[in-house]
Amino acid sequence: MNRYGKRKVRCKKQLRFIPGYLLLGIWLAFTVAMIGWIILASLSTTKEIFGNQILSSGLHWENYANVLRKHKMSVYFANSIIYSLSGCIGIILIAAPAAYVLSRISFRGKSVINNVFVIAMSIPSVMLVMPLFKMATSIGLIGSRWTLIILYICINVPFGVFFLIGFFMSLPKALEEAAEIDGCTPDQAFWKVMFPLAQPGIITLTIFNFINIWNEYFMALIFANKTGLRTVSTGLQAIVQSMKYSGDWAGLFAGVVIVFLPTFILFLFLSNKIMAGITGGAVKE
Amino acid sequence: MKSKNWFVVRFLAPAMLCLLAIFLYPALRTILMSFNKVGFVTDNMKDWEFIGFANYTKLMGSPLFRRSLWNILKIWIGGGVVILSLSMLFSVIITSRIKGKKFWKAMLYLPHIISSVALVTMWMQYAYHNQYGLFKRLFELIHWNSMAQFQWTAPENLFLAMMIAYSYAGVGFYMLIMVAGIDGVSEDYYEASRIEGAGIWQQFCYITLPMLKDIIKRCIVLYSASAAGFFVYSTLFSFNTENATVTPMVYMYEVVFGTGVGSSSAELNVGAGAAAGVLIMLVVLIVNAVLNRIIPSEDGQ
Repeated sequence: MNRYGKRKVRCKKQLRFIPGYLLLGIWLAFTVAMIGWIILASLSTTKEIFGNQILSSGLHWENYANVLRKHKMSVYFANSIIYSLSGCIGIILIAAPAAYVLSRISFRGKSVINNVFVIAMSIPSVMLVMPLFKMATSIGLIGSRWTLIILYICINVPFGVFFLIGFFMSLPKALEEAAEIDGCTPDQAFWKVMFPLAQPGIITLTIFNFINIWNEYFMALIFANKTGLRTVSTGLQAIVQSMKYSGDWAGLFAGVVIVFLPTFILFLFLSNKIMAGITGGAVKE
Repeated sequence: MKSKNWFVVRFLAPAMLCLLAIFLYPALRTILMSFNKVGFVTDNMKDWEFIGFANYTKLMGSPLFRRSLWNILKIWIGGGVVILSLSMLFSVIITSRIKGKKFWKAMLYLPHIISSVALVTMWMQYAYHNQYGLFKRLFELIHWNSMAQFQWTAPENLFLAMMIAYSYAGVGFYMLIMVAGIDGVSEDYYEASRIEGAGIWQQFCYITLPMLKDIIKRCIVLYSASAAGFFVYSTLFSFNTENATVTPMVYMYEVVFGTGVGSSSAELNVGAGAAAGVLIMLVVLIVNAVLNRIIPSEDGQ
């Protein structure tokens, strides 16, 4: 079954993959060295980091306590959780009904609306932020968590619609007819039958949205400029900038670990689902 | 029939509302804004002063903006060649029936799911650090002293350092798309070519590459769109103190929302920031159109 060779000459065939393994190995070694060292350094003292002797005086968990409390990482973390979770829920509640209607019910102007969603996806955020800032100021939302929550929901809706249309299309048409015969209204047919059936797609989309919102930087920089509203990304950036004065490198690395750990753990358990979602979304387009 | 229409309207309305309010209206307003002199980003439309293309000519006359265009060109072409050829190389390696395909895919894709700020901090505060840095230690270990002394974060090397970090994070995403493309190519082609005595290199040139034409085009389009919005790495690497890494997006941010660090931002108005945004979008559209011309699609998309 070997793409370039058969089983018989396996050993010899594996030899020709050595350059490939070597390249992948170098990449892996670098990734492990960088992330591994950051984790070890986050448990050492700043003095040990500069003296090349990380971990020589045991584990210093107080770095985490420091960065969470003194450098306000706990506030940023809680904010990011709020933004990501409410964002994920909001996106599904808005995008799933729209995707359902656009994929399974025929009506006039449907293809126009479909195209508008695709066009919206390709508008770069640099075209949007200035008027959005003005709008947020006009309705007095600057300085409130609602700004980012609303923005994260709306910005991600077009991709969500586009992504879910594919999943709803794959469900058999007989389902709604059966629901109708059983006396369901169209609303009930959607929420009780179709929505649960589209769950694999909805879960993939939600993981994807969670990671995106968790890591978002540009919008957070503009719309959450107060300490109390910052996300982990802009918060970590603030910590990096204050490092010049505080000199707490061990605490900084603890902060880095706190920022990447949630998405990293998600990826450890769900990498197949995430990667399938990426190729599905990008290749289908 | 009426109830069906009502159902469609109700289900579509929230999504349509956010489309209009968050995408179409702001995009149009930004285009209008780019033809006006606007004092503050929060000014009402009636306070704008129409000045035609003056914002655009002013932008082109600004040395900082021209520098940002030059930088984005270098990032787009340099980063594009490095990222796309590395992801091509890795996707060929990964699909060549080596062991642990899923593991290698996940490993290469990993940086993409980590926050850019966390990644850049890892690079700046560890890998590139001039006292305990990974590269410094590594080169000391093999006694390559000139490289061990290399100041990665010095202003003249910052651009190179940024591009290495950017490429490291970018490869995985395009690799995934290309792997999916190669997996879709029928095994028979490779089988037949092997019987005819073709080597790996010939298989790549005469089977993989032509079959992946559409996928490669899609990768270039996706890459160009993301490169046009090049912002995070630029702001995180430059500390806002010098212009080695300024891009149009950063320029827009400095003009409109910035703290006025760059001396040149004082003379400009918010309309110029909008004009920079419109230019970024135009360039992306032009690149897409040119690509469609150069690499025609087979399925006529």
